[in-house]
Amino acid sequence: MNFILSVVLALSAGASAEKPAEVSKTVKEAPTPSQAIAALISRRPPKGWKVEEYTNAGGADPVEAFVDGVDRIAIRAFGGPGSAYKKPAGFLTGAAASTMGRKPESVGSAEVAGRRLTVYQRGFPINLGDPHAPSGPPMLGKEFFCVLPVSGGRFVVLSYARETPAPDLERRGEEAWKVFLKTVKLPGRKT
Amino acid sequence: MNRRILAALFLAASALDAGAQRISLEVPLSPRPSIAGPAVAPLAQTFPLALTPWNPTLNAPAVLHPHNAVPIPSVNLRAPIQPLPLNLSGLPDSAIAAPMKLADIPFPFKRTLAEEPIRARQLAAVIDTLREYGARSQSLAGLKGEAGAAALERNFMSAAALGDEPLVPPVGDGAYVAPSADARPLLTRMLERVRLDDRGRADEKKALEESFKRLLETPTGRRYAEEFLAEGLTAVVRFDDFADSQLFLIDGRKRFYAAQAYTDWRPEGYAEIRLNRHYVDGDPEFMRESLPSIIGHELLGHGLWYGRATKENLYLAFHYHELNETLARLVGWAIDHELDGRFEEAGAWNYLADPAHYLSNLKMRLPYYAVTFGQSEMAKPLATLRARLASAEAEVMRARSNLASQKTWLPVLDHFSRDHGIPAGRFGLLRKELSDLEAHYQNEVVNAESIVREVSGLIERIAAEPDRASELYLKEASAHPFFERLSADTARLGKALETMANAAPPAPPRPAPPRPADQITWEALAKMYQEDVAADANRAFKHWR
Repeated sequence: MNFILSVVLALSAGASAEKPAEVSKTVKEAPTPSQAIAALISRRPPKGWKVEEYTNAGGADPVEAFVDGVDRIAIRAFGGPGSAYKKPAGFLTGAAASTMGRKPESVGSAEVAGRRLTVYQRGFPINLGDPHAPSGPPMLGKEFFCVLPVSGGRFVVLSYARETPAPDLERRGEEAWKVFLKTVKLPGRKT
Repeated sequence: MNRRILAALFLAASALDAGAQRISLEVPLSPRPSIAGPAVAPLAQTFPLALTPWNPTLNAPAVLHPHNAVPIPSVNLRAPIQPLPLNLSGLPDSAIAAPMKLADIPFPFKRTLAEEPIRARQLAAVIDTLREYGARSQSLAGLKGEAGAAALERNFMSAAALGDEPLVPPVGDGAYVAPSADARPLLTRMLERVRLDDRGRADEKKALEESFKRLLETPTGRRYAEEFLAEGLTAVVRFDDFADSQLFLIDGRKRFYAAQAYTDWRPEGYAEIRLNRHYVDGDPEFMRESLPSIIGHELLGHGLWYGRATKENLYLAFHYHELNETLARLVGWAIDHELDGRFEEAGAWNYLADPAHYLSNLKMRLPYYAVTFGQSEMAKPLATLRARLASAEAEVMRARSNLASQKTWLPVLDHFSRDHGIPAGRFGLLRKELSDLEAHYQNEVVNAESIVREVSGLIERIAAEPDRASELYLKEASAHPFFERLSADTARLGKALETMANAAPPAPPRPAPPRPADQITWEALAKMYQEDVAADANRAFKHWR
């Protein structure tokens, strides 16, 4: 009897030892760049444009972009922990807003999410060729952008770029940009 | 009785425990205890088949010379002998053991197999020797400590030198050197490890020495030079005649628009940097501004990290990593900016504006980049390449569409000359710029199609390996802490570059060639077009459809 009890006790101890403790874990996945931006603004992408999403600054700065031919509309979020730019002023005086180091030009304003925002213009080199060879004088594409403050001390830069110096005679890209800006809203705010 | 059974059980348990201990090296082939990481499996030590360390040969760009560039005939250039670098890999076995049709052999090996059959046999011997080395290293794996590491290193170096032939002793020994307590000038210490080979030419000697000194005057140059020395690496830097390079006369200055330099990792264990001789023949101001940063890019970007990767048996994985070229680019740009507050390469601004976009663009513009992997991508190489192939095929469609759009511009100019009487000469500059743009978009089409071929080819070669050697090699390599270090250094340097570019007031831009006053601008053309379209409303005969 004592032997049987010992065996039973040993077996149950062994069984307990073998059974792994079940721990329920909720693994929170990081949001995608588009999801991160959707948490800051709502927007409607231009119909039929190809969507790209990625991050900079080790994940701190999500980017969502819409591309059609040489036209590109982008939303870049800054100001979070680890961001390349903490404040709009830092962005506007930094390399990302410049024309190869020269500050951007103010070219008007636009109403976005119920706010009047300054629209800036800058140039960026497009004919980079092979980086292993010197290039000739750069041809510049044009980018128009505005800066929208959003929640949590962050801000988004809304931009429209044309990767060619040739103007948009049909103004298709420009029209898509204007329509896009009208769709931008801050969550929880009526505009 | 019970105590004897218990004692026996205890002894048996102890024996089992002792038997479970294994001797292992943390990082095979490292000559010193380095960063702890998983040992690379034996399979990955045999030489991968599909992956090859081909040089990122210059993709023939739509070289957009300024409109007033005049070619200078090259009378003194001889066709250079440019053998493919004989480094650690050689040709893929699939190209040798299973003969391929010449048309199917991807560039640049087509040239090698067609013209250098002896080299093909030599390279096959390299692969066999490295496989033997891989097997031999297994038996050496039981040795512990520095003796084991040294034995492995000798085995590795012997294999890299094609077997039993005596090693050509490198200038340095590859051994780790503690951070220098040597108070001698950095230039002196660097010149003990880096040979500036002037080929007996006084002008090359002067150019090399001055550029090297300027490089070491910069904080980034000094930092990475100390790291180069600490790794015990050696290098040779020299000029070479690049056959595809051409000098142009532009506004009284001689310039070239071809490859600036190449870095090869030699089997003897040192970096060889070849610089375009046209730096010396061309504009002295351009050489002064550009060459130090180019030497920095090649020697302290590629050379340093190829050396580190080779020590960790990760040469090929590093060669296929996207940060290989990115880090070298950052090193060069930082040195460039530190010299005069300017970037010679316009691409630096695009990188600073949106680093991830810049890099992903390169993967869709240049065949070399198209077959490189980020860290997570290297862990799933085939899936990555298949997704990239789909993107590349879409890029071909986009590039063709852009080119077609671009071609519609010339009829617009023709209309204003023919039907509005505007002298054709007033559109001269616009026509040249349109022609440049068309060449740019044409080049994008060619690049995109090349990328589809390159990526498809690599997918086929990797997928065809019966032992999945390349795929497994990349997967294993992706987990190596070497790449964490590479990634951290790239992030640090990118941040430093942003800070210096954002902080410094920009140097005044160089004056662009003046635009003659009678030449119509893009904006003026756009305005003419809008007004003409509007005027169509009042015309019986419309100008525009």
